[in-house]
Amino acid sequence: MGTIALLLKLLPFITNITPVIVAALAAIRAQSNMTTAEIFAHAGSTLDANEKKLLEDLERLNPQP
Amino acid sequence: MKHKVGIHLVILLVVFIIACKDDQLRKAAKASDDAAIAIGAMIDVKRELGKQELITPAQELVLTERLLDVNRAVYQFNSRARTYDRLDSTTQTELLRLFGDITGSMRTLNEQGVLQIQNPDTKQKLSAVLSALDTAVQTIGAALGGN
Repeated sequence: MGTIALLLKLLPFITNITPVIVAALAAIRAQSNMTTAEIFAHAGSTLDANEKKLLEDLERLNPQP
Repeated sequence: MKHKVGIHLVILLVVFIIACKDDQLRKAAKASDDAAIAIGAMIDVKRELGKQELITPAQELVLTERLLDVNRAVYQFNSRARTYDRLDSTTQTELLRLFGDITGSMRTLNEQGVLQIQNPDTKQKLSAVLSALDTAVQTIGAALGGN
């Protein structure tokens, strides 16, 4: 179970399938070519980007005076 | 001769065990990466539902706060796991503790965020993404031997 299973579970509300398959293949190819350290680093970068988006959303939804 | 064969077998066994543990760490890395991607997807879905006014700003705020908790829990796990070369009983215990923080934050996201959505279609969409995230999280646990 990995990236394909993950992306397949997202399918119910994704209308255009081709980008999903392209993204899945790209992710699998990318992970296969990465060292374990690189995979951890990639996860870290994605988590950093998530944090940034979530903090932006917090500011939008609950603006501080 | 028999003695040399025995030693070679022991060495092979140790190498095999170490390789299996290395595979565990790699599996945990991939699952951590998948979880990060799934959180990103859930953020995008949440934002889209908010734009379409299928969730209220108050509901989106709760989802945002709980997602932040999950993201930070995965971040802690990822940051710690990447410092290890391989898993042993000490590192495994530490990572299982951090995995427990992830599953706890996931439970709270579901209970305080997703399950509070009244509209069945909207709840289903969020549940689908949450399910994808949960798959990645459970794979982390499986890689650690914690499930």
